[in-house]
Amino acid sequence: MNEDDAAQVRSCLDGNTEAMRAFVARFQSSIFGLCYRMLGHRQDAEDVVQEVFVRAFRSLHQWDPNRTLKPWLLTIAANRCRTFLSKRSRRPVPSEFAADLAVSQSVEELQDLGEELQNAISMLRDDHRTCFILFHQENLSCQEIGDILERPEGTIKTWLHRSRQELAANLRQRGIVPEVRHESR
Amino acid sequence: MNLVDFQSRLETMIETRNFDQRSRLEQLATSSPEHQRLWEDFLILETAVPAWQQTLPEIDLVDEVLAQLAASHFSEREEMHAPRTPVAHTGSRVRQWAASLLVVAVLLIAITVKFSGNQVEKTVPGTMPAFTGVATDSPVPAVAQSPPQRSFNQLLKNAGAASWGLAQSTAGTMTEAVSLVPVAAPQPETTEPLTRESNWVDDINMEMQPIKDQISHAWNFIIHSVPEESTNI
Repeated sequence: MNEDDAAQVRSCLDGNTEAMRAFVARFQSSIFGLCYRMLGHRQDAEDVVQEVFVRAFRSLHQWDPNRTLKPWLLTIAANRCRTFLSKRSRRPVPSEFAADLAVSQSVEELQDLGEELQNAISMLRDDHRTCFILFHQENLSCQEIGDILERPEGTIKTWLHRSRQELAANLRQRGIVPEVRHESR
Repeated sequence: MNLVDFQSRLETMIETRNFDQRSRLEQLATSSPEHQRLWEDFLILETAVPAWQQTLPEIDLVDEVLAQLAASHFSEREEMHAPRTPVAHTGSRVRQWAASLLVVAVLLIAITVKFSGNQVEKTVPGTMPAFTGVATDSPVPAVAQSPPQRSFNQLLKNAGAASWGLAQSTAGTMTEAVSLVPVAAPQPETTEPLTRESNWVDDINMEMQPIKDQISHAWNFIIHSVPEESTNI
């Protein structure tokens, strides 16, 4: 059991506002990072992050002390992102998101490698995308990601390498490769 | 090292984040174009991922989350303590009463009309019709009826009159009952028991009691006074 996590949860359950503030401050970057990468839209990500924390506080009494808090919160966040994406797929893509996609089509207009990768990530399958983000942004192990996504570790490894292959192929298509190729030789 | 082994070692290095074998794999990457391509893919992402990690915007959602928590907590408490609005409840009760009474009234009117129709159209076996509308040469008036038939017709008249009176009485009672329903809804802020609701509901119940008795008596009268074999019911 993680004593720090347990103590913080107890304080939150007691209604200690400062403990709740500390709780949000502690995890908001991770949760926002996953949501922002998954949704590709800042405002949507902020909305989902707030929803994640509200849900987490409501079900904090159900938290298993044998489980660390961060993966538990990331599980909630991954589920909320999945739900949000399934809802969004049934309605028009927000104009801001569409504009981002349109701009990113042109390599000349957008040279930033990070944004290129983010655009490529947004084209991945949802489960591949979640896996890639949790591995490369949250630096979680394949075992931890498997626990969060409720999949075997082997499946997570497969998803990770497929997503990496797809992203590399996408960046090659966009002409990101030459500099790297030059370095590798 | 063959391509499968090379790919396996490369993937293990990525999964475990243990880059001890990096220089060894880099040397092996020149073994074939396929090895080279796998290594380039690794390098592409090794370059792009740190740049991507830098693009995450800074946020501070602490205040927003706590405000939303407070709002949801407040709305939950409000829902928990909110008085049950009697409008829908009592409205549905009145609607139930009205529907029941309307059905009873329609049923009774239908019975009345039916019995009246029987009286004209039906003939009791072995008796003459009361009026056929066809001129006969007989000097004897066609309206002559046997005593049992007259008493039966009298029963039907009585039942019809009772039904009609009951329907009228129902309509009158409904009018009075509707006038007892308060027009203005109670204040939603109040947490006190809804005394006004119980008063006017009791009033309606008291008002309805005579009509309940009348319905009961009328049905008993109809059921026990009309021979089953002589009606279509």
